[in-house]
Amino acid sequence: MESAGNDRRDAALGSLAVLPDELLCAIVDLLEPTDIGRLACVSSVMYILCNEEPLWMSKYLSVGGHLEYKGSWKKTTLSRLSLCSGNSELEQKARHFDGFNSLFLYRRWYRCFTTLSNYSFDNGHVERKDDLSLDHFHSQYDGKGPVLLGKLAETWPARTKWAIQQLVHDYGEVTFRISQRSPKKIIMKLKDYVSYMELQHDEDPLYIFDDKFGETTPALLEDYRVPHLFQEDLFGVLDYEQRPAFRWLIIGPERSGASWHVDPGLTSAWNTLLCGRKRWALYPPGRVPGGVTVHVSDEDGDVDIETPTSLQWWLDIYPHLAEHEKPLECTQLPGETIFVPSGWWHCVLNLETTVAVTQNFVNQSNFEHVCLDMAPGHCHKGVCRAGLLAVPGKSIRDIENHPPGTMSAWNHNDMTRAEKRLKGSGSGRASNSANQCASFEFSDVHESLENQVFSYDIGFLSQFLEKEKDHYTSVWSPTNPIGQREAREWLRRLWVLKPELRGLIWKVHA
Amino acid sequence: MATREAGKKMIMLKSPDGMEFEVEEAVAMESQTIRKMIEDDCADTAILIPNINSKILSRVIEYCNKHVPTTGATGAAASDTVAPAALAEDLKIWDAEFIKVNRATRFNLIQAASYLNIKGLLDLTSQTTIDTISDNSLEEIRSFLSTKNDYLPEEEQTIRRENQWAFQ
Repeated sequence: MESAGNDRRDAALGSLAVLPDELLCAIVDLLEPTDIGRLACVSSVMYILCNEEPLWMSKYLSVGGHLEYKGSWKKTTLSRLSLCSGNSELEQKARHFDGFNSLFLYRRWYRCFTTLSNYSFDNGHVERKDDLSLDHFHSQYDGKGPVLLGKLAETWPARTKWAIQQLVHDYGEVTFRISQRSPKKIIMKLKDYVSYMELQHDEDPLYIFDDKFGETTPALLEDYRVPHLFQEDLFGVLDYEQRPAFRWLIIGPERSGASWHVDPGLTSAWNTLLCGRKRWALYPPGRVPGGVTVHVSDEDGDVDIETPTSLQWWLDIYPHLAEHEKPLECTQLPGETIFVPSGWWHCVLNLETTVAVTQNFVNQSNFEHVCLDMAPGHCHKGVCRAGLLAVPGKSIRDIENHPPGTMSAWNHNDMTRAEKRLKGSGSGRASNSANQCASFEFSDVHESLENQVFSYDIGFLSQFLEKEKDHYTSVWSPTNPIGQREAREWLRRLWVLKPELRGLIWKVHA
Repeated sequence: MATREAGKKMIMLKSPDGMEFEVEEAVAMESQTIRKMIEDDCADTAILIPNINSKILSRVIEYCNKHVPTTGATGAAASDTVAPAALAEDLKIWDAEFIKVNRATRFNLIQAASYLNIKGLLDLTSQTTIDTISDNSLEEIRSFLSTKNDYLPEEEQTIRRENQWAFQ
């Protein structure tokens, strides 16, 4: 791989030279920080490997805690671990060694320095409206497809007050929660976060994703209001402490963004952008995006998603999708609100520094889906997200009449595994026409489902519940948005407070 | 797909030097790479494992055989009869014995473990390298790894100063 001008590598790595750079980086990542510091003194190439910023970011994230970024991840980590007291001894000039090239390191560096200001894309497939009547919203979009709404936030104070500099001025000392892939919790003061945003060159930058901003900074709640289309929120009947997280403040720089996912508990969501632009990609329910793998646990049917970062997906997977495999796409502009219906896959990439607020909700249109998703069972959660791929006992070998090639990557194996992997690929077409969204075309078949096509219709999905399981005898899934007791309390309160819902409640309870 | 015993799917792994190894599918699937090939249906008859010669591949299979969870055909999990702690201890001793190989073999195993994506084997094989680096002097590290100190004298001094924190 590394050919020209790489004469330094062999001598400087010694016996390790047989290993590719990617593997060397992985091994260095297993070392303690002090060992990394000493290894850097061994030779020039070791020095290079030991001073990679992604290495030190990974070291920091494995520790977590209250983060104050010091301009580089190495400095930040050493200071966090009290390995370096004075800042002066950490100052080091950028060092270059001739005679060492690494395609692996270069590619990673390239991703870290990718600018996205010209990466906006919008083919108009996600409809844009100024506003909608509630009836129009329910009949055309709710539960059916995404839509961008231009004028829902026009009167919000947040439109002017949630500019980065203004936010730092007003709330610089307030601590917010940071989203990241590793399980360690990270929090930052807003002023520190903004300084991190400006200085960093991370491939997958940390972003503020805080579900408690309304509690820590109630004044922020005064700056926006839930748009009239999304007022109904059935979780709202629960006591505040009992209800699942439902609103998030999201602040992130270019390259950051949420990777492919379906919103928790099959809730729907609205997201209003105050600053910057966000590129969105969406697929209808049951349509696993290419490059994404859905793991369905055989133990309890819980679903786990394996996905590249947003940036990696757009750089490495998206360009290889055929026209008919492409997702629905749009670029959300400041002031616009996007509606994401229950069960829809979505992935977001910030094209520049963005500030947004989002809320998830349960209304009459997704109520049954949210209830279905809390039911015990092995299959239905997978089906809601990955479609008929998640039907057990089905294998490509059972299916004779598929055109060759189209379905191979959709296959999964039998139930003897600890889990099933359901992989996305190209087949099927994303569409936002209202009727197709609700019952997305899916050409797979199952013995008992001969000729049925996947549909996000509740009647179709309910077939995958297990009859012998009920809420009383089965273990409650720990990944459900609310506990078993809360769920019962929720239905009880809805019964009392929302008599018009009794028909639905009776249905989900049965 | 070959079948030897009822209920046990077998799969053929081929090394580039022409050797064939018939292994239980469950054993082969200790490798996430092979698991994906099987699950994506790219593995109907035999899987060619590129870049891993038969000597290394046989060692890898030996490792997977030992580490595959012992449930399934025989009914109850082994951990029902043997205390899990004892089982883990037994595996540890086996691992320590397994990794007593020369450096070339060990690096080949690291690469094989990385390509085949077998986390346990990668951790085990990398650990020796990590031990070489941890808690040894620079001279010792250089000598263990046959690494040349390619710094200019003043360069080395500056870098030592920069990394003084790692020596305290």
